[in-house]
Amino acid sequence: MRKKEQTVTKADLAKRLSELGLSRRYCRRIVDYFFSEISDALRKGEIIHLVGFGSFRYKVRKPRRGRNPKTGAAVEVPQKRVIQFRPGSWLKKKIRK
Amino acid sequence: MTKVELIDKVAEGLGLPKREIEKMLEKLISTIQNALKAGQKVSVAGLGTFVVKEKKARIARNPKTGDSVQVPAKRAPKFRPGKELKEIVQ
Repeated sequence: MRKKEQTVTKADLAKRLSELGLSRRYCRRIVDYFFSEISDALRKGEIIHLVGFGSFRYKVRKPRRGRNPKTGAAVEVPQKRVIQFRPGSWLKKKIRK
Repeated sequence: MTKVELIDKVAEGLGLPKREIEKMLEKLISTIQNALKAGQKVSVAGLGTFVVKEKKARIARNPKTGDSVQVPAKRAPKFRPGKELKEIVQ
């Protein structure tokens, strides 16, 4: 976990996976594959449940009338889909300390 | 999509045994968990960032009885979707 000590990147994840025996380069492909399958499933509207980690889904946010905070002009904010991640209880417990 | 389905897809796509991919996914998840536990951010380009948020102690109410309860300070995992992912679901 080089670079900024505080941030873990996909390259760092691949490095850790390579401890299982495959090359780091190949592990990078695996990491990419996992995450692209997750975003693919989200695009299709699926809920992704990863036991021990959490679930991803999207929620539909209703259209609403907002305001431009600078000018005060009313603007229509259209319906939107927003991604939601719900941490699993196991992850929550682990992080809580 | 469950873990098993995710493993199937990746194993099929890469032509690797499922058992191997399963180990990879477990390792991936535990690496992310441990990083978060250590207070690090996990930034996944194209998907988003996992962060840990510190939550202050607060006094809340039991919505059923109206009693006030002390909620201790805690840390909670959060996910901030990246731009690409936000666009992909529209």
